[in-house]
Parts: sequence; C-alpha cells; structure tokens
Amino acid sequence: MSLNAQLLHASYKELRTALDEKEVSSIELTQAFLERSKKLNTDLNAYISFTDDLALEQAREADKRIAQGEKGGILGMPIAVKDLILVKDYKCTAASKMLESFTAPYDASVVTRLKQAGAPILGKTNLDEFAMGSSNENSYFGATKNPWDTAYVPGGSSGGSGAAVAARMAPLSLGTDTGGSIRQPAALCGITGIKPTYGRVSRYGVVAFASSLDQVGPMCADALGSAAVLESISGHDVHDATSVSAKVPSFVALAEKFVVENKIKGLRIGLPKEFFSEGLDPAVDKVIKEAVSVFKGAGATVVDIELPHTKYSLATYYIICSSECSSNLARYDGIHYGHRTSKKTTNLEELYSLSRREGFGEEVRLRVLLGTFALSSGYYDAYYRKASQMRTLLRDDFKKAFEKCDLIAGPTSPTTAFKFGEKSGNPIQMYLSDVYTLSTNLAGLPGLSMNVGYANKLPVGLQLLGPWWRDDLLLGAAHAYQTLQPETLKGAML
Amino acid sequence: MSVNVEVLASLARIALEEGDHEKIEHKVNQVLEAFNQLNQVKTDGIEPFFYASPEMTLREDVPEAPLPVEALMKNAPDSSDNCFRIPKVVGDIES
Repeated sequence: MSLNAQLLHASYKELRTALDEKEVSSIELTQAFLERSKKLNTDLNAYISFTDDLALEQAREADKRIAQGEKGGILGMPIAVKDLILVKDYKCTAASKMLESFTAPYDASVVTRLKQAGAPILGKTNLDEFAMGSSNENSYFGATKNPWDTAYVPGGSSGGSGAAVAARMAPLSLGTDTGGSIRQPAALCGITGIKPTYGRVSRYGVVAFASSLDQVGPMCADALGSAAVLESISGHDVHDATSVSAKVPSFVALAEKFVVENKIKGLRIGLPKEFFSEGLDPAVDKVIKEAVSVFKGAGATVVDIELPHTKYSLATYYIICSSECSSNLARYDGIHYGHRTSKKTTNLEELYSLSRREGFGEEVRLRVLLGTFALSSGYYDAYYRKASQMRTLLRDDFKKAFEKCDLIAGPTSPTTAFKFGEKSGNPIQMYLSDVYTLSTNLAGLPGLSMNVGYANKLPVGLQLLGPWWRDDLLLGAAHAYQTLQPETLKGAML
Repeated sequence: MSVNVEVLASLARIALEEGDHEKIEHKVNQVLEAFNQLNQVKTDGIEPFFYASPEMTLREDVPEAPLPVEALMKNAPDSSDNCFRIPKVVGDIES
C-alpha cells in the first residue's frame, strides 16, 4: 500500500504513532492531504480556500519539534478550519458575500492554540452563510456535497468540515455548533463531532451568530481524534468572558482509561421518549436501537427518561438565535468592513440598507428580520423573554433526567442526509432537521454525534448528551463503542 | 397576527427589492406561527435563562496593545488616511 492509501485509512491513534515513530513526517502528511483535497474539492466544494503556505510552514516547524523528541496531541496533524474562524492574514468569508473580501487581522484564540499545538492548517471549509442553515445550501460559494452520495446535502452548518473529514481531505477539522451545526453534519457525513459544554472553548475570533449558544468543537473520524483536538483548544481565554477557568482534563487519556477500566459496565443510558417519536425515519430508528444494544451488550443499563418540553425547543431556539443574530449582525454596516453597495446613495441609512440587502443571503435576512421583530418594543416579553423562560424549563428537564441516568442517547437527526432542494422552500421543515440537537445548546450541555451504521445507504449518527462538563464521558463512551465497532469509522470516496 | 414588513425591514436596515415583500411576509408568518406554540406553556414566575456559562470572569483592567490600525483599515470598503470614507451625507450649505 502506498503512503497515501495507508494514511487515508488511518485512525487518530495510527496517525499519531506514525508521526511519533517518524514513519511519516508532518510535511509528507500535509502535502498528501492538500493534494487529495484539491483533487476532490472540484466535486465536493468542501473548502472555500486553501492555506498552503501556512500549512507547509507549520508542518516544517512540527517536524522540527518531533525531531527534538516532542510527541502526542495533534502535533504535526493537519486540520481544516471552518471559514467562520479567523486565521490571521487569510480570508474569512463566513460563506457570505458580505465578507467575501475580508482578511482576518488576527488569529481566533482556537487558532492560536492550534498553532501552539503544532497542527498545520490546510484551509478554510465551507458552511451555511454565517452558520445559519442545516444543509450547506445557504453558502454564497455554493453548497458542499455529501461524499457518500453527491446528490445529497452534507448537513450544516459545518458541512464543509464534515465532508472534508468524511472524504479524508483532512484527518481533523474544526466546526462550530449553535443548534447542532457540528453534530448534524457529523451524523449526515458519517463521522464523529462534539459540541463541548458552553464555556469550555473560547469564542474570541469566531464570527458571532448567537453568542449565548455558539461553541467551537472538533470533528474527526473517531472519538480519540476529537478528544485530542478538544484538549488542545479548550481552556480559559482572557478575551472571552464566558470561557471558564476550570482546568482542562486530558480527554485522550480519560477516553482510553474509560475503555481500559471498562466503564461501560453499569453505565446508565437514558433514552428520551421524545427523541423516538413522530418524524423519526423508521430506518434511522432501527440503526439507533442496534447501537444502543451494543452498549447494552457491553454491560450498560438502559433507562427510559422524559424531556417533556422538547417539542418547544424549536420555537425557543429560533426566537433566541434570531434575536441574538439580529443584534450581532448589526455591525455589518457597509462602512467599517464588509460589502458596500456600489449604488449611489444620498444618506447613510440608504447606504446601510442597500449594503445589507446585497451582502446578506435570503436565510440570513430572514433571521435578522425575525430577531428584529422578537426584540422590538411591545413584542420583547411575548417572544424573547418568553423563550428565555422556556430555556429554564428545557434546562431543568435535563437536570431531572441526569438524576436517573449518566448520559442520554438518541438519534442526532430524524433522517439520513436529504437531497438538495428537498427542504429549502420551507424554513420549518429545514429547522426540524435539528430538532434533537437544539435543546443541548439552549441548556449549554455537551453533545456528541458518531456514526453507528447506515440506512438508505447513508450514514446514521447516534447522539450522546452528557451532564455539564462531562465532555470526557461522551468521548469515553464513543471511544468504547468505536473499539467494539471499528467498521463504523470508514471514510467515503476512498 | 401579521407583520408589517416595511417597518421591520426599516428597523433592521435591510432594503426591500422587488418580490421581497411577499416572500418575507410568507416566511415570517410561517415561522411566527411556530413561535406562537410557546403560548401553550405557562411561564409565570419562571426566571429567564439568558447565558449558559456558570461564571463570567472579567480580566484585569490593564490596557493591551491594540491591533495595528493599518491592518484593520485594510478591510474598510473605502478609506483615506486611516479614516473611513462615506458618501456625502449633508447637503450643500446654502448661502
């Protein structure tokens, strides 16, 4: 087998060993992934831009560190970064015409940490404009295609990051998750992705969508790779007041310990009846139940739980995210940065209005308008405040549930990947694709999705939700499952 | 309930082009119908929950070196001498 083929099939652990044992250099790896990415990108459109110079410079630096005996983590491992996250001196478009020619003047804190960890940044991945969408169809630069079948969407909004890992155009990637934007594309692309507990990872230098919900997280074929990235990017940052000062655990070591000590035995897994109700594709349901039985077979116990307010999570989520979006996106005025209309204007208001009409896509405009409505005088109490009270009820549902179980399992998305255009006419139909993931962000909980099989010839994701700050438990359980079912880790287009 | 699209668009500083009005009205009303589902739940006396972070840490109030002005101005659609240029917004002064 050629170097390329071996690397493409490698798990995190195998890649790590190959680098540490100097069987392959970071520069060889980086070049191989860049080459494959560019070849496949014509079809898949997973990347908006490549950052070759940066990647190769970082790879050479990583090789020096490895030569000096440094090991572990993500040192020397190439990574793709969602084009919502600033990488200094490179374009950051948020997949919007508004930021088409915006160059990042500084690094996001997560990028600073990737650079310190020695992970070469391959490029910037595609997304729904400003991370608003569940199919990647809202990208100004055209949608990413699902590597399992290019007639289907990769999910969103981190669809580029998901497809890049699934097609092995990168071994690792970063996404962001506001209502399911890491987990849903991870599910639809057949990989692993984790939305960390809110406050675990800094949001500084990440284009803001809904600040009380946004969180950056890793995507990788397996849980161990995700753990390694999370370990590198977590921790307090003085530039983000919501990032917590708690010590960052060693997620890789904890996940390995989970398996060695067989902590699946006696683990109480809660199945919320609301996640297995109307709207769930029976073929997805079947695969999810089989995955749960794998946990059972390894000694876990399954308990029935209730999350009674789940049916209100969609309305609650869209009121809150639209409100925060209308406020965050008020900064795009056509003056300080971003698109400015070329039409002749006679006053400032006209300049703002035309620039924003031209710069924002349809879904972004819809959400800005919805948020403006929800926050406007006379409607604030009925919408924004009401939704924030609902958020308390949704959070308390989880608190009660975690008295009965250690983690919660269910489908990540009610269906497998859908076809392009299938849901784009009706916003509610599209929003329902995230119906099982939204409440996690509202409560601030950690959530993970991993591939557990196939239905309709497309991947099915199992979602695991844990108590606040127990990201380690999700990664441990996922690693245990993947150790038992390694065939669920395969990539597409190989 | 129906929404006044003109007022909303004006508040959000988003110009309306031909065909926008009907499209927006249709979609906004579709979503608002879903929003109104929350009226089924009594929330009197329930504390709102705005932020999921358990702590908000403030940094020391020490000035940091700012980003270089030139680097920031590079992203401005129009600038001159490190100032933002905008179209003329006041009329000629009448003598």
